[in-house]
Amino acid sequence: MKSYGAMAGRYLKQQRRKSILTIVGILLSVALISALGTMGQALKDNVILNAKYNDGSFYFGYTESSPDLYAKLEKHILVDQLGIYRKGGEIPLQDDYSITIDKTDKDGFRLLPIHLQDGRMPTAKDEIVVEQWILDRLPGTPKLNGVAELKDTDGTTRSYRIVGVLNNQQTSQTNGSSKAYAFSDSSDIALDSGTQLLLTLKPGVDINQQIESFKKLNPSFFTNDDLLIFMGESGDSRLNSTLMIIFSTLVGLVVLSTVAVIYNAFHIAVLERIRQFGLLRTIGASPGQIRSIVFREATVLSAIGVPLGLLVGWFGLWFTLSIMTQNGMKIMTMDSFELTFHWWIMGGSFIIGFAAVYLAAWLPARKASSVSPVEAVKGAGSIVRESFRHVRTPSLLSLMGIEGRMASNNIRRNRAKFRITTFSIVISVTLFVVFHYFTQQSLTMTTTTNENDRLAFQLLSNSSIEEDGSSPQLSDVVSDNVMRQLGELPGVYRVYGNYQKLNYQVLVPDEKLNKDYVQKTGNSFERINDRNTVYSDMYLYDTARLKEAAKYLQSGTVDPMKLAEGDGVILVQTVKPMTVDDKRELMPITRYKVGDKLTVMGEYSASPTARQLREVTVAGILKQSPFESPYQENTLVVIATKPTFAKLVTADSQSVYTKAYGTARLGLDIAIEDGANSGPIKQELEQIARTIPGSRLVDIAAEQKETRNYNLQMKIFVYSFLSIIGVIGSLNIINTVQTNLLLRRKEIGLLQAVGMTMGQIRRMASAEGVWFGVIGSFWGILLGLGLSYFLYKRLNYVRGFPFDFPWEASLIACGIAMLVGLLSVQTPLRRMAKANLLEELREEA
Amino acid sequence: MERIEKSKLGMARLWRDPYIKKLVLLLVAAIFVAIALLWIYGLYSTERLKQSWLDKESAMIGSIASTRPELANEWVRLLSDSGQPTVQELESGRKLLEEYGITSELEARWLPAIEHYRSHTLWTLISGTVLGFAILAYFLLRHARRQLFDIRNLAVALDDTVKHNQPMKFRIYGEGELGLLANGVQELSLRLKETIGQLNQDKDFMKETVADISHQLKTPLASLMIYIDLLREGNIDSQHSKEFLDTCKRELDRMEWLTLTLLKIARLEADALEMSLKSASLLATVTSAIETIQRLAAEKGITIEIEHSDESLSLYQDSHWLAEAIANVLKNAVEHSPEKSRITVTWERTPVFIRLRIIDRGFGIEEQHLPHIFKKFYRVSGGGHGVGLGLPLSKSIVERHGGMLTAAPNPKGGTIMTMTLPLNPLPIESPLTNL
Amino acid sequence: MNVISVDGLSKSYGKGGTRVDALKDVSFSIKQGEFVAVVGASGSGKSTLLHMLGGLDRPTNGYVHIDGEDLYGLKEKERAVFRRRKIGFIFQSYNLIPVLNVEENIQLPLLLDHRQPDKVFVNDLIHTLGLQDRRKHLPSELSGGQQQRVAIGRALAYRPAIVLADEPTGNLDTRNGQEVIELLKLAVRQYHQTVVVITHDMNVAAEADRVLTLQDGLLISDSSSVGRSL
Repeated sequence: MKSYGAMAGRYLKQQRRKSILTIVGILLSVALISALGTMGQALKDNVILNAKYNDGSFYFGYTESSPDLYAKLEKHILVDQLGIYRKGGEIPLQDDYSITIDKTDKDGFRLLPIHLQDGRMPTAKDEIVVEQWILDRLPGTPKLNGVAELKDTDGTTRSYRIVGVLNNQQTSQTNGSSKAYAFSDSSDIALDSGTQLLLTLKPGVDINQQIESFKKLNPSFFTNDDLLIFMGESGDSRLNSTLMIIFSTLVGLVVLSTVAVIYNAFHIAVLERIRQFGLLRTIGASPGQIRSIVFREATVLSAIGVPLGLLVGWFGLWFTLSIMTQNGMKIMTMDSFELTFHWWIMGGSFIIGFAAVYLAAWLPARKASSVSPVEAVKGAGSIVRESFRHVRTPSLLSLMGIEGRMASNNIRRNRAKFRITTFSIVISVTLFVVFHYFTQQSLTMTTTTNENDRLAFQLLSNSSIEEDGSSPQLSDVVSDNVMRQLGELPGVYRVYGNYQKLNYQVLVPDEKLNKDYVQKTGNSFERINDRNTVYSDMYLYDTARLKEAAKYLQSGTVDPMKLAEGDGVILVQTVKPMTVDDKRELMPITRYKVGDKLTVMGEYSASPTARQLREVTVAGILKQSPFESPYQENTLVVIATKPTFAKLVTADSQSVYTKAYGTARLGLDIAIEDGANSGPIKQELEQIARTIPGSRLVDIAAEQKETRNYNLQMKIFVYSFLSIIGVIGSLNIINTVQTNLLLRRKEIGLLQAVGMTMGQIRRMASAEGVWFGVIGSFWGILLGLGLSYFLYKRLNYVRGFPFDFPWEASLIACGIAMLVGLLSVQTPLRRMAKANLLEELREEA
Repeated sequence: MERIEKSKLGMARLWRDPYIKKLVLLLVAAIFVAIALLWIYGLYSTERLKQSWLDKESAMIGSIASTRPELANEWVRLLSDSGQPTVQELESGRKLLEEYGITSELEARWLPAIEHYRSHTLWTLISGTVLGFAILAYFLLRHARRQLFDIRNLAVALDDTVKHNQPMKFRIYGEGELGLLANGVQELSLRLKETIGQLNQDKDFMKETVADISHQLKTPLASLMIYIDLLREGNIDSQHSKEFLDTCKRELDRMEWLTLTLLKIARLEADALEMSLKSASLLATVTSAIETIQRLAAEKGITIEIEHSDESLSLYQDSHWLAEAIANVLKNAVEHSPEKSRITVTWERTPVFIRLRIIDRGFGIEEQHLPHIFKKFYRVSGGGHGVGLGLPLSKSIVERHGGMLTAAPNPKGGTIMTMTLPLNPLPIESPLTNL
Repeated sequence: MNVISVDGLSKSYGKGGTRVDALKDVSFSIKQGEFVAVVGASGSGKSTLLHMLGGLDRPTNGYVHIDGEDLYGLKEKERAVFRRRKIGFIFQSYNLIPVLNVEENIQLPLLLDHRQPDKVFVNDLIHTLGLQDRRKHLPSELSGGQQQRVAIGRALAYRPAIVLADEPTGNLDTRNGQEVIELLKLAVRQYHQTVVVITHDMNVAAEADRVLTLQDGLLISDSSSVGRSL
């Protein structure tokens, strides 16, 4: 031994188990921070990528252009890319199909959301990219690199070489009009009000500070809102600072929990050795030397834990993601997910790790150095004065008999230790609750998901109906049999029928209307019969759809049998209107409950007769629409089963169409499994489509896949976050509860000596462990709730939605805390049971 | 003696010194302040340069635009073009400017904007540097002064100690080199004092010994003188003269023993005698001691026995001297024992010591004498006929073996003398204190 | 020469009704090389006195001078340095550092002072203490007597002017206890140290040059031991 400082190393070596536990704590914390950083960055990158995918990668745009504006922007010192985009006219093709050829230049192809499936982007005037599905409908059915002769809107016929094929878009397929982009440049495009200009700024330019000066150039200025928000560069500085607050809160919480874990480990290690430090003081160690011993321990631990943590954080993430990639879950649109290595994240985690360790070691070091040598040599054992409060509230634990009473005494006896232990549990639970809440919310914010995402194909029929009302009731375009066959195809998740949609009004009495909605949106409703007319979309759901609807059930039932009885319908009353302060917010439009009667009016009439009104019963309420758009703006969604729907339709005497369409299956929606091969399904569907005249197959498999992947990936991120946090929290609890028990070895020996059986001791210790879990969870949930609400307040500014109490997270956290508390006392107890009780007693305090 | 690490003054060691620590902190703080100030100044001066450069450019564009608007457009394009100018562009531009006398050799002061920047920068930097150094120098000097102040105090205190034999007044209980120096100096002064004390003690001891010898020799010398006078006068009968001569012989023997023993003690206590410590059998030493005393014991019919002892035990010892010490204790025991009694010699080994006990069953020594029996010439009243030098000699010898000699009453009557001899004597400090 | 001089030393704990006077105006001085025993019933204040002498606790009133230095006039850090250079402690419960082996425990005061221990000296010391076979053992692997010898070694390693022992034989059997006292006495002679031993063992007190008796925080007797001494 060269110096007294080597004692630190000796201690760590001797207390190998505890040192390893501490190192693991540090390691996990650093891993968490670095993984959080990396994932946060990846998440941000992905969200930005997604925003670019959807809306294009430009920052600013002008809906109108002029040569002057173009010249200014072109020479502008801050502008990086500048694209020109001009919307083309619709060119009709055979069979009601059409194509619109938009023109854009080289930068435009980069800035606009144009997604190649195959080939390349045009680089010359006669080159064009089109959507894949239209290829067959183009004159001469050209393939990729083929040539198509098209008659332009001005009447001239031009021949285009098809150099690239774009992803199919649902809207264009449904409308039968394909998007196409041709190359052009500033010399060729008229720079007038019909031409848009799009631009990005040079890297490193503070975007939101430039918004004002760019706005001055032309009033038609607009920004790519979503992209800028995700980049943290929105023109709304309050929004930016809100995002900053949210992220610093989360990072702060993680850092705090890291500090807490390490602090605990050190604090307990120091408490255990208070006497030793006192002894060192008696033989002449100065307080500074004691501090330096503790700090040296901290340095050794962090020197091992922090780099390992970085390695584990990085490779753990990399490993998980590569496994997911290998298992076919393609991350984003990329075949291999490149986890970008950011030095700032690694460096930041490194610094935070070390700083946290030193911060955490600081108080214990001070405590160790201020130990009174007298107290240590007196050998009184515990240095902390144990305070008994004599007046106390009875604890629930007392109900558990003598063991419970002992446990409750033990817990309350030592305030300092109690506080440390609870604190670490509280912080773990809080962390979990808050992160659970935040990730869930951001998941719903960044990915609005419902069953529509799964739809890969649609089969539409455009059967026409005679105007004179003489046409007979339509029959199903596809038989049940075919439906079943389709459903059994490999890779098909479910096949849904499409039916006509009714736009009935619902007459809502005042007490059922949400007053807040009226207040916040400023919308008003027409009053009929002293009731408010709220528009509704009424859908017919077959059994397959109802099955999916069950996932969104808030109350009531979706059982088709029950619905059929008594004209039951399912209601979606949550809407997402634009509020007066220009913000989207989620809220219910009405306040119906299960069992309420819904008065619907088939055909508008200012003073409807009783015959025109129908009554149905609300049998179930959903949180959001399972299909179509999840939330309407100001419309109720009413879902009915076939019998109810049929009754409504037959009662409706006015509309010819309604009657004719009836409850016929007009088309199909096909949802496929994630990662399924859509090729064979498509072939099958094409065959069916050929047998049905006037039908059209919409192929959105590629889009669907990308959306699903994006959502899936977000979920993976979120749940990996949560599991890491769960692990670190559990570890924290294990560490504190275990050491809390191990520190009292002598006392437990004493209890054994006075006749407590090991079983009683186990019950006592288990009760303590669980009780710590309960108390910790209680405060943790309370604190977590507060913080979640705080985050909600911030998030609400970004996008409005109601505050969901994080029940789920709270219950999970509470359960885990108690379970971990219970389990973590078992190992030390087993060890104690094996140890010789006399040895424990003899061992000096 | 532990060392203050010799010439090595490693970083860790350097860092422990409080002065170095302060110095380093000072320098680090200075560096950070300098970096911060330079950073701020850099930002500020770039902003200024940019402003004046832009002003210049704007003025040019303005004047050109009023006459040649198309040129102004081109100018703006070039202005925002971040690419490197081509060699050709640079070359042709330079040629053009050269015609107006504007070359890179041109002194900066003819270009107003740059001249402004230069003078501004120059003065700010010079004054800043001077100020910075001045502040740093102030702190460094203050720092050095404090250190010198400590050293001076130490020097003054040391001077006082040396010249006036006072205890060190200025003490530093600190870490670092100065602390160690101060500690060393203080140790030195304490040692010095101790040594002086010891020297005085030795002087006293010498005086005492001389007085003892003269006192002890005076009486027998006087009686010898008388006997010799009487014998010389010759009027003594042969029987008496033989008696006188026997008495003289006895007195002379006693005086010889006395002087020899005193000399031995003096040499032992003055460290003038080398012990040759060798590992040797304790049994042999004890046996040889018993042999020398056997005759005396036999006279009184006393038996000396060795009891319950590990006979194979060996010890680092000078067996000659240790035998003498044991013999002296035995002699004392024999003298204090009644006739036909038993004296037991027994020893045991503990982890640290060998404890040798000599147990007699005599009259014992009264409590009040116990603290004094190892003093020279102390004689328990009446009892025995020794001069009281045997036990002090034994004690000196045992102490030279790093051990102790103690006496305690035997609960069964008599006395137990215990020699506690360490298996390995405590390490000896520097010889200074053992003068 | 007085190594220790205690002047009007008082110490009280607590306030008001719970106030306990552990020491009441105690004054005495100890010469260099003396082997002093402090006796008294438990609670008589003898441990408090020892803590005061070692600079571990602050007195309520009075002064302690060691080697001419006002112990409580020093700063906390200076007192720590003072303690490591001038005072050696020996406790009833040995109080060795459990993670350090025998050799390291002995060297610790030197290491705390950033000195390199003299190998030969430490080696000799370990031999004297009969610990040569235990050199690399941890305290938990030693018997009580051995542990206390290590503690003595630690107290002697810096050859402090003063060795303070708090019931050094309290946890030991007679044989080991005697050995500890003998070692201390040897040290006093060999290193010109001053030893203050707290004890309630009259046999130990009998070995001392001087016995101070405390009762209820008061020094009630100060006598040369009637015991046999060097």
